[in-house]
Amino acid sequence: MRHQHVITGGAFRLRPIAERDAEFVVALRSMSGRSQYLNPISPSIDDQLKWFEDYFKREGDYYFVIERTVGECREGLISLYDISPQDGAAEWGRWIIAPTSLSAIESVVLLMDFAFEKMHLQKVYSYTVAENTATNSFHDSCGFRRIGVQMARFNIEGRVMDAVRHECGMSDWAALRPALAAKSLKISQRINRNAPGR
Amino acid sequence: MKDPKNLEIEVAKLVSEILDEPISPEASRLTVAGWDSLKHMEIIFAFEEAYGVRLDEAEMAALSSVKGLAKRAMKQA
Repeated sequence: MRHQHVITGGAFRLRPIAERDAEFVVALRSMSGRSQYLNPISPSIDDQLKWFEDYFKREGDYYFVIERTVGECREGLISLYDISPQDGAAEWGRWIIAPTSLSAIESVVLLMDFAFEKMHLQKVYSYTVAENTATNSFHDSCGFRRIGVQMARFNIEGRVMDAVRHECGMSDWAALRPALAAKSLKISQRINRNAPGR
Repeated sequence: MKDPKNLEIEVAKLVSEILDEPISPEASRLTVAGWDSLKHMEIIFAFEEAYGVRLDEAEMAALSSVKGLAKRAMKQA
């Protein structure tokens, strides 16, 4: 959906995705080593723009670009979607970070803050391809609860893949946030200290 | 100057303590599932403190193996 939410952290911000990001999305999602766990997308920018048209009409879907607060360099993508007002839950995903980016921790802190503080959700969850051990480990390291494995959730280019579900409730986030925010702050201070013009 | 092999063993021990699993000098983010983005930053900050190194942002992202870290520590020595 078209939204206006900008969530700003120490070194990165989440801002609404826009048509001008189509090329960036295609490039990032097609990057070697990243695409094996993602649903394939067309390499066509026009096709991505058509996908955006549908996305902009879809309620309860918040797609963000992760970019630097200084210089506005784009370094990743992240989303919150499938919001269920009945149980106050939503899925987070479409999370891709450029290989040389240090935005992983801060982008997740910002998205969780958005989910719990702005959207007032009770719970967020994610599904990660089971074979994607690095990303599943990241969720574990953050302290998100590993709930279980959903068999055959993904079909990526004919490969049927299981998915690991992680969850984080509002009270979980209250307990996890201080440590993650402290790590995020330490990283952002280092990035900003080295930033040109600082 | 430290022997490079000993330094690799020393760095492997540092990484091992953070990941809480045995780590060989050949280990890298590509070979160790638990060496995720969050743990990587913990390793980087612990490495800086242990060896009195100040890494720039590109190095923080790129130094993702025991051998690479040991080589960087050697450069600093």
